[in-house]
Amino acid sequence: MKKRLAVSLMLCLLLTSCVSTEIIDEVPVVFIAGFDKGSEGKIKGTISLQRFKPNQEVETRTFQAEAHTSKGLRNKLSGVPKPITIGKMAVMLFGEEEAEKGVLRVLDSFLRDPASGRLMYIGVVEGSAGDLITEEFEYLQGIGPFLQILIRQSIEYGNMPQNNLHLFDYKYYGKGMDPYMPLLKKNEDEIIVSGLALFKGEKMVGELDLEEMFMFTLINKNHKAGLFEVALSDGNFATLHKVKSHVDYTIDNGNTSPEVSIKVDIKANIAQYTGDKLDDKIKKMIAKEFEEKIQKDSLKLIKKFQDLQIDPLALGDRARSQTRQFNFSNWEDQYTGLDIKIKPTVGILESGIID
Amino acid sequence: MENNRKKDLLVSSFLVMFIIHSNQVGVGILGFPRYITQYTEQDAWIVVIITGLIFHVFVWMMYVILGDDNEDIIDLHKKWFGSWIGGFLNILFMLYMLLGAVIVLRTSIEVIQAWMFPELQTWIPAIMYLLLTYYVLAGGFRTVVGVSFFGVILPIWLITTAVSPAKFSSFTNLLPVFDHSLKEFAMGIKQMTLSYLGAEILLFAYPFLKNPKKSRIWAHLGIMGTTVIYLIVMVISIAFYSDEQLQQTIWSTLVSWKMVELPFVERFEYIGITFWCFVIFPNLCLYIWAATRIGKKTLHIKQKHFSIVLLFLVFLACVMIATREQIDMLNTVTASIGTYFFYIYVPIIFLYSVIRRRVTR
Amino acid sequence: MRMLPKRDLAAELIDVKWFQKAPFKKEMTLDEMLEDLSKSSDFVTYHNKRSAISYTIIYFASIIDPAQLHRNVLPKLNECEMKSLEELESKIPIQNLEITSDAKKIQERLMNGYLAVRLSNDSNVLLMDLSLTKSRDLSAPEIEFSVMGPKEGLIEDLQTNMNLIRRRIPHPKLRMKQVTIGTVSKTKVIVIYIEDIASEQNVNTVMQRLEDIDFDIIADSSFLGQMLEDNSFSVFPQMIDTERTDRITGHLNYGAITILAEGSSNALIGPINFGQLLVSFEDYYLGWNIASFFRIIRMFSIIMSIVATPLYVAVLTYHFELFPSKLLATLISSRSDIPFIPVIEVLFLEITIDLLREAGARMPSKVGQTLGIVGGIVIGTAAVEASLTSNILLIIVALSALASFTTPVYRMTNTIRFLRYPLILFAHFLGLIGIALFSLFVLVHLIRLTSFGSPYLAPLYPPRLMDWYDSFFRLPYVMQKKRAHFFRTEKVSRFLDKKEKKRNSLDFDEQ
Repeated sequence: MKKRLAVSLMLCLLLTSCVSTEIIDEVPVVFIAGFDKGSEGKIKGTISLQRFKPNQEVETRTFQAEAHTSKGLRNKLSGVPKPITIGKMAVMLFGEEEAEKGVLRVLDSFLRDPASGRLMYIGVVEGSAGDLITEEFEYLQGIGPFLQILIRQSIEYGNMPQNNLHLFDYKYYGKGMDPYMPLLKKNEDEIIVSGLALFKGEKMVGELDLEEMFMFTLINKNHKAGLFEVALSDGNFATLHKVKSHVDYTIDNGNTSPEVSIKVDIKANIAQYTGDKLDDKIKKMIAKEFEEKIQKDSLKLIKKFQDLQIDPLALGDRARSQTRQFNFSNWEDQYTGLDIKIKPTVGILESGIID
Repeated sequence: MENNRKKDLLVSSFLVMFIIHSNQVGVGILGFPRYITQYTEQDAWIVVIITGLIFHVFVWMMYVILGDDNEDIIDLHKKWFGSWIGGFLNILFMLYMLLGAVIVLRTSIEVIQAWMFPELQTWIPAIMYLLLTYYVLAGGFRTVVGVSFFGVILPIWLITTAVSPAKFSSFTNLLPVFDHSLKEFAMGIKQMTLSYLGAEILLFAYPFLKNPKKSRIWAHLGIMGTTVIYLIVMVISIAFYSDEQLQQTIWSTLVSWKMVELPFVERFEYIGITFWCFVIFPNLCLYIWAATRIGKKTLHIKQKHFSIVLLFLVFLACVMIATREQIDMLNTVTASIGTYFFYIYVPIIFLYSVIRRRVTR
Repeated sequence: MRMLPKRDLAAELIDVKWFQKAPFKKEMTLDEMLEDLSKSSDFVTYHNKRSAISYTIIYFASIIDPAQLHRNVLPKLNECEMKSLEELESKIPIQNLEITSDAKKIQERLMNGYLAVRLSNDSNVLLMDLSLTKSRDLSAPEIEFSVMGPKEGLIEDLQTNMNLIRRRIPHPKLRMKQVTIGTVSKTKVIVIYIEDIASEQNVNTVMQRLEDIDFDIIADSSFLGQMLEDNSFSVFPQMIDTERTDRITGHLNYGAITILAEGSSNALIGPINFGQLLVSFEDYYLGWNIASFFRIIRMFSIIMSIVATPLYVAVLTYHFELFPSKLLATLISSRSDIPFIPVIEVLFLEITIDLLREAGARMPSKVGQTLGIVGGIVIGTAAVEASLTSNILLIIVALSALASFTTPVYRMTNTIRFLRYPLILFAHFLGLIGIALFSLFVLVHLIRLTSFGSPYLAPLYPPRLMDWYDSFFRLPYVMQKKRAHFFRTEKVSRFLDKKEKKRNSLDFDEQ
């Protein structure tokens, strides 16, 4: 009897489909979404859907709507078959104005939704994010996957610091640090990375250009960066590649008058040199000039941060980890006036297979 | 023959490791770091170790309480306090076990509802789980232990996934070490106790071990295993999240699974939750098994019939609990009962047993 | 059949000893019996009145050897002046001679190809074995084919089979015990084991269960298998059916018990555990490392074969986020024209494959091969072209079908194919959680299952590390010093350990 009961119960269960399905080819899959400032304090959202045809071709369609919340946007997107799923969203973009107003009202729903991934890349677009997404570029896979690859490659092989939704969230909530995002730009008929957008809390307050971003990446964390061109004092140029940095932050007297010193140990290979012969002397010179450049530029960079009252280098957090009973309010009072020392050392490892 | 058959029901003493370990690790591990870091921030991992050590002491005490005769706590209650008071204590125990089962089942269903199927009605997985539980109970204690054995072995590889969030972690978050007051540590330990609850199953499983005296070392190893796993989860959580962020995250372990990216699988949390079904199931079986043992010994109802009643009660309770707040409240209640049980009841009865044995000798 | 009480039907089905013997009822006299038998046209009673004492010879013409009758029996009968059966017994050059008056026994013997001689109307008869068995020749095993190793399979003749086994184990303690089962078929069943090695408890269990069987016909040993199993509701085989003599020998040596039945070319081996279903006997002919590797592949393929299509259903119906974007694009475009939900698509293809398999098995082997090719290629491509299934699913289904056939035990292959269907349904209704819940059910079932009282999942659970040397992998023979604890054998050691001390003292460059 028990068994029969169990069996009939099971059958009942199986006959009543209990949860709503999300069949792979029926749900619209959003790969990229952009958010701009809309009218009357609303958010203007733009999404781009991929449609995959049987012959492996991809068709992209974009939709736009305005609402007060990003979840509300999903309702407003008439013309898109429901349910819209953000499970595979790879890139999220913000228009510059929206970023200056604050990104959390959009991000909140993505952080709250278990369906969204946290490895999603987020970025700020110079101008309007919606325009960038609706623009017809000639990317084979559509703009979403393209941007995902662009940002990933810039992080892995280029000069961009590691970043994604999780790390933004981490820095947003973390004390003694501030988040940043890559800054993208439309350049004629392609999209390029134009620098780094700096945030104070959820609001964008400044930006770094590409060279500043490289400096930032070098001194922020241990990093394997891409190429960098050094202009030498003798008029020649040297290109360094596989620039590897090892950073060491020491912060003393964190609770009284903090002293910050940053040791940056850099190893690089020379990929190109415009002069005649690359001998040891010139190698040393290149290293020396690179050191000076780092010294000068990064101090300028830190000054910029201090003026903006932001801390993307997470100095506050590093101070916390090196100070017992760390006092954040004291740190914040002193931060803008801190004297920070940088000691870069550059070593040249290889210079290719010719001298 | 009778003796022989009885012997067939026993399990090897080293399996006590899996019994204790699988009953301790449950849904708690998916979100416990935020409750501990609330008080001790970067020092929370020390709390994990200290609480682990405290539980080693509790296990030692429990072995002393159980003594040399093959008796479980139900017999001892009756022997020491008579059938009325002892019976009353046993019934309390039974309610506690049922509460444990309800929490485990309801919380795990909540995880499924929150992460995978928001529209899923509670009764569907509940009834499936409970039917399975009955099937396990009908197989006797050996099957229950088998389920807890596989509940540990099958999902053990999930530990390796800690590598992925580690890539995005900053381990300087763990510094400076020992930067909190004793009071904060104490608060942390109190919170941490909830995650270590479950070791009390030893009081019931004891007479089913082939060589109870030699099982001691294995019981301690079980606690140690739990400590190591909690420690890994805690360290990763501290390094992976910033402090405020962790306080915001209800299921921190699940969120950190979002970082796993394999060539053919992304969004690992779905696979994690799937395997978690194997982790929480032994909890359910062990708790209800213990409850039916009490029913058999104090109320003299056959386990066969009593388990159906209990399963039905658990089912009703699960269906009636609907919101996150109720689940949270239930967790808090169980946590405090469990804490009182370990920090007050166990030491008292430990002293009582020592004194009583000395007097009778 | 007994009247079933109203309560628990399912439990009754297990509890009732369906095939247990009822006490024997009525005795027949010799004459009644003879008269009864003479209703068959091949039954011969020849009465000779010319000799000194008149005698009758009685036999079934269809099952005795006429050559022997004419050469050994008839001349002797006529030669000697038969005063008594005892005298006759001493003259006739045939081994199995017997004098009895037991009508039941006589009938039994006659049915088995004996000839009876009766003097006048004496109640005693002399029985002599003139049985003639015709059987096919020995041939290579067809179901359990192997590349290496002996190509010797059992055949339908019990004598030959016994001969094959005893020749492989010329050990004085190899015991063969006979039981006759079947009220109609009177099948001879032989239980083979090696005393000292096989546990007495297991032997007793098997003998007891065999003797208790009451059934009309035993057409094949697999009948017995189903009646002997601990849990006949389970889809998992609790005994191995094999036709390979080397496999039988190996298992006997570990302490297992083998059951042969007259007229069946399959032997039953038990007790077994789950791991042994993954063992192809060829593993023992290959090196241990290679064999272990293939065993692990086989295990992986079993898991894959069971869960591949259910996973497809679960992921495509509920959790598409699991796929990386690139894979997603491929999948979506392959599915974009298909009108069905994934579960229908999968069931359609799975059933197609099973149809092909069934059809292939029922057809003569040459037609069967063609059928497989036609079915596989034509139906598969056509289904994809017609957008009934996606080509990715076609690959998955074909792979999992292939994987299911890597299992060395045929009954296990069927189990695997069967298990897939409920799993697909569960996957459709609860996605990955459904798969997990059903797997839990299977796991609990396996934990509870026993084979002659030995745990089915051993040595995994209850865990016995010592038994692992030959389970999911196989260690070299040097390390297989002891017989597995699983068989509860008393004689544990397989060979004496001589090397241990010597090996440690040697350094490099020292021989």
